[in-house]
Amino acid sequence: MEPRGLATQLRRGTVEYCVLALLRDQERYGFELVHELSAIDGMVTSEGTIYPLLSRLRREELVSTSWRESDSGPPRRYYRLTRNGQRALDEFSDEWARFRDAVDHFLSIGRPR
Amino acid sequence: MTMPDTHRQPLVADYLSRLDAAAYQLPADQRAELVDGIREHLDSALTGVDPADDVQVRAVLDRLGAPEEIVAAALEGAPPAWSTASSAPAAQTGSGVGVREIFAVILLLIGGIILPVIGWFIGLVLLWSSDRWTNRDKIIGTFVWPGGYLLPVSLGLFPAQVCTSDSVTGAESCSGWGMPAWLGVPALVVLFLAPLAVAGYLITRARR
Repeated sequence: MEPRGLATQLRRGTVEYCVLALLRDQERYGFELVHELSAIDGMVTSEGTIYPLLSRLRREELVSTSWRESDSGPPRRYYRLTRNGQRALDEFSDEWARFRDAVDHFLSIGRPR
Repeated sequence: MTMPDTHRQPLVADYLSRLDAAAYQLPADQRAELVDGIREHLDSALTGVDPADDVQVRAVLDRLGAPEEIVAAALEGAPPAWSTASSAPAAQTGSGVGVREIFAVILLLIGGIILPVIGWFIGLVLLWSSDRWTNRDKIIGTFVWPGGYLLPVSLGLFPAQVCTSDSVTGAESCSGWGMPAWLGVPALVVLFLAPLAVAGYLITRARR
């Protein structure tokens, strides 16, 4: 499998938890979320695809949204973690730690220490 | 305002129309949400960018990705448009007008009559606890009119002026005071129509 396809596979299913994690302590608006995600190499290739993801998280009630006036221009849609979102994030964090350790375990077999 | 200028930039306008066209496959509310989200993104991303600087504008659009690619991501994450309504009603909650919003508007209108005064206050709590409205919407909903229809209805039913005509002399005597009809009737019409207009406004805002 080509590396780009591999990265896409890995991103799929994990980006949404990175979004939830960014909302753990504060509300953010769309551009802010995209900006934070893009700042870390390898997390987002096309920034626009974050918006359908946000829409789905809202429909699944993992995040809620509210409109707030901005200093410049029209109101912005702010995203906030819901109780369900918090739970999903906690579950993922545990699962991810186990999964990461498991993969690391196999990757380290046969390697010189 | 800088926003419409941003969206009129030829490259941006072209991008947005391509996005809107590609998004026809999505349910209407998701299509609107997606296009609004990208618009809002562009407002922020193009702040401080010279609209005449095609290179910079193009860089912002390139980072977003092709409109078709964004729509493909939306289709991937959601069941097709034609099946959402029937098979996944739960997916509709949280978007647009929910039960809370409908109850809020109804109670703000006539809650004060059904359950004097308290009903309106319940509507007020629902209004302010919903995330579908901005603070400005909520303030409008609160002040037109406090008590909803309680005030105009009681004014209409119990005129401050009571007139009786004497059956023998035909002379009319009035007690209390009243507004002249040319002023009172339009005032009453405004009192009755304004809450309806605000209700319509709130529903429209919640549907975005």
